[in-house]
Amino acid sequence: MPDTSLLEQLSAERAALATRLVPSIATVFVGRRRTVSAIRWRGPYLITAAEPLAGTEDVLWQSPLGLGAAADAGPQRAEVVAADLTTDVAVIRTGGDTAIPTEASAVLGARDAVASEAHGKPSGREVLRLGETVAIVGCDARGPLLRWSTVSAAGGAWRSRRGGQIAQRLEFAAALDARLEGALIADAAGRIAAMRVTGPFARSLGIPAETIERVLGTVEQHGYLPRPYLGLRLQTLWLDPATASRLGRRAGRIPVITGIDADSPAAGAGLEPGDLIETIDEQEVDGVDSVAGALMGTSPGASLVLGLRRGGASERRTVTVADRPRARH
Amino acid sequence: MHVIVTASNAHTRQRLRAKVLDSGLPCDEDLASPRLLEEKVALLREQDSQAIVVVAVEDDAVLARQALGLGLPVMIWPTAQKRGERMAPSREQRRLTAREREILAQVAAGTSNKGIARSLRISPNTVKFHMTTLFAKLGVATRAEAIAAAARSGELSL
Repeated sequence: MPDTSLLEQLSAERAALATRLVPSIATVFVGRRRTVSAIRWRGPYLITAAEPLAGTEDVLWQSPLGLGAAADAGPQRAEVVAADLTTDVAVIRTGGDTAIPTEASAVLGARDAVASEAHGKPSGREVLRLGETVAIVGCDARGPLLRWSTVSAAGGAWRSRRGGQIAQRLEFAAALDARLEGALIADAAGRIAAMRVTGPFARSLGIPAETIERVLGTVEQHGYLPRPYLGLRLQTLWLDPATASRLGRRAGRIPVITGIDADSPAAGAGLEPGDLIETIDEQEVDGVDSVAGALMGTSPGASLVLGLRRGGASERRTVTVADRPRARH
Repeated sequence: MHVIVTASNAHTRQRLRAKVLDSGLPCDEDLASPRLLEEKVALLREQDSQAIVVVAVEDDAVLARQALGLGLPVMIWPTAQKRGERMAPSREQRRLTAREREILAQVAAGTSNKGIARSLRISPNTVKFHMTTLFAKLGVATRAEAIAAAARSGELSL
């Protein structure tokens, strides 16, 4: 007979898990008063949600207090390397290594064993199941924050409205708390599986570790995040049923080119204003959003085959995706 | 007869459509811009010789002029505002300036506010001011929404 109740054991286990996870989080100051949470991912990188950081170049960040001298030194400056609005992943590069301070790692035995297979990568697993209990752990200027939650939706890969490819659909039964934007989501074994962000209709979404790694990998490779670009301005044209069926289309809408940027891939491929875009890589597209989605799923250098309708006839044009021109400064 | 309702503002378009249907006329579609109207008419003409009638509202003369330019009959609908009804911003009010478009393209490229300020030789506060008016014109609250909305209305290239 155990001399403690099941409730006491559960409570102790939960507290132990929280203690193990706290060293993996940080807080990032956005604006004068607001903070969001961040995950100490690997190497010099912190990961947080993109939307609150978009447009900023550098931020102040801080570890939860009590994790040793370095953490207690107060807020430190770090560079926002990329804020990917398509996946809501922001990459922050700190001055040093964000690896967990040695004093803290003593309590991290179990977690290190899980992470050891992927060097430095905080997560040994990438898929959560519906109904699993998870810990959402973040941090504000005064210290760690935690919420227990449940995986309330888990599904396959999906594409965000802005065209970002997300490895797994994850939703959590958790009330909105702006301070937990960018918080880590760990399973009952303490493995970091995702980052918490706010989705449409104020839902709590998880961005899986796999997607975070993909964005971080691209940023490491290029030093910044390339944005796929064709140089096309589009509008969506609505078709009446007769015209739609005459054009052999399932959708009642079709994107029409309304402008072409000079010196762009679209100009080079001979696209013209007035061309209707029927397909991209033989997949029917039904509006500006679906073209954006198809484009965001590629990388600069990739080729797309556009099925066009021009002057009543269909034709194919191949266009090479470029990197969106960036300001020179 | 093929009746096309045109108004650049979605709310106006919806009300106009309801009024046209109320009057007993058919309403085959509603379009938002002169360019879409031109495309649509070209498609319809390619298809058959059905009579096309365009319905426009009186404070949106660009679309009516476009229809007349295409040689189509145009019905102009009066747009008396009910008292207390909020005027939606007109197309002119919502159109982005060249500077705003320039800034939005940089936002889409992931440039920071400071980076945009440096490249345009303006102050970061001016960039923020432009962003505020941009968001208001596009009716959005976040950068991601601004990029999506501007792409959808043909203001930002993909």
